[in-house]
Amino acid sequence: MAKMSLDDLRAMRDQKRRELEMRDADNKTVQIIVGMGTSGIAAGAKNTLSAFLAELEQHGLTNVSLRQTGSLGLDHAEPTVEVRMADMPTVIYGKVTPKVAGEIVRSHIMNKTLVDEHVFDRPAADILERKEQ
Amino acid sequence: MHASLADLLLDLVHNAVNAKAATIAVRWAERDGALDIKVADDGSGMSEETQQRALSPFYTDGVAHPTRKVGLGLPFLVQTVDSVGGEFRLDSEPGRGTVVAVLLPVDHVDLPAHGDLSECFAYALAVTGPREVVIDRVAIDDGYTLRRSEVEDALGDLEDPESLRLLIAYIRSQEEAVWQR
Repeated sequence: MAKMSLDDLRAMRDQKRRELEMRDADNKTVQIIVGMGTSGIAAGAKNTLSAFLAELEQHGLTNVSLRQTGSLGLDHAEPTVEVRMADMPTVIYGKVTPKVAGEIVRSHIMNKTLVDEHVFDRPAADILERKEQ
Repeated sequence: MHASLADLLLDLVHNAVNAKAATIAVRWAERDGALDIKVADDGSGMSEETQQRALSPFYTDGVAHPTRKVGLGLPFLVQTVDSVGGEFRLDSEPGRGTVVAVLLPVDHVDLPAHGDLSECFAYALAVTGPREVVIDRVAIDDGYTLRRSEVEDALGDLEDPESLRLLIAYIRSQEEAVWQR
């Protein structure tokens, strides 16, 4: 790869934007927040973040923002990831390996189905309501 | 324990974010058989007493997590430095910020792998919040500087996965140029 300049980067950004606008005009409606505290990084959160980047690209999802935060407070379950989106409870997933990151994108974000075995926090009230119905 | 030096660096950058720094300056320099890594911020800083306690794994400021009893970020770094006979420096002052610097011998058998520097630098630039992040990558006869304000100007929102992917590709091209020299 030839060494890129910032102008090259702008040109690539403009090209990508044109492609994305043709494919999908949605705004960001999904937030993926990866816990990057010490325990998260030690457990592989950087690889988890990279896995989300790759999986989102593979499925052409353009309505997602990918954020970093400090520890989400569940050190025993690192790497941890919070997912916020419409029509789904806000969920903190735990033990999110790169493989699980792929499952979250495909199941939670694309099919609106929780990845039950990795849910560690915040879904209770919503889930109970749904299950009672 | 962190798997790579890149993980240690990213942890230090997140410490600076937690200290509410407006500017974070990172240096990653390789010269004369040593790796010189420094993270300087203008965040909340620490008193002398807090600096000493921050080096203990059984201390945390309790700000983010009031019930937590341990804080492992700096102890991990100190343990790594000790294991390779490197040098560690912590300078901090309340209200002025913190500088963490290490000097590591690159040929020591116990030195952790560098890790993926391109991803690490990209994620460091993309930390959440309105702040400037400057990364100086210094290598023998070459190097480059990354500024968050410049890459945001070129790419827009760095929390957009497409922007982040382009940023990683951009930094990889800089890294390859460094290694081709």
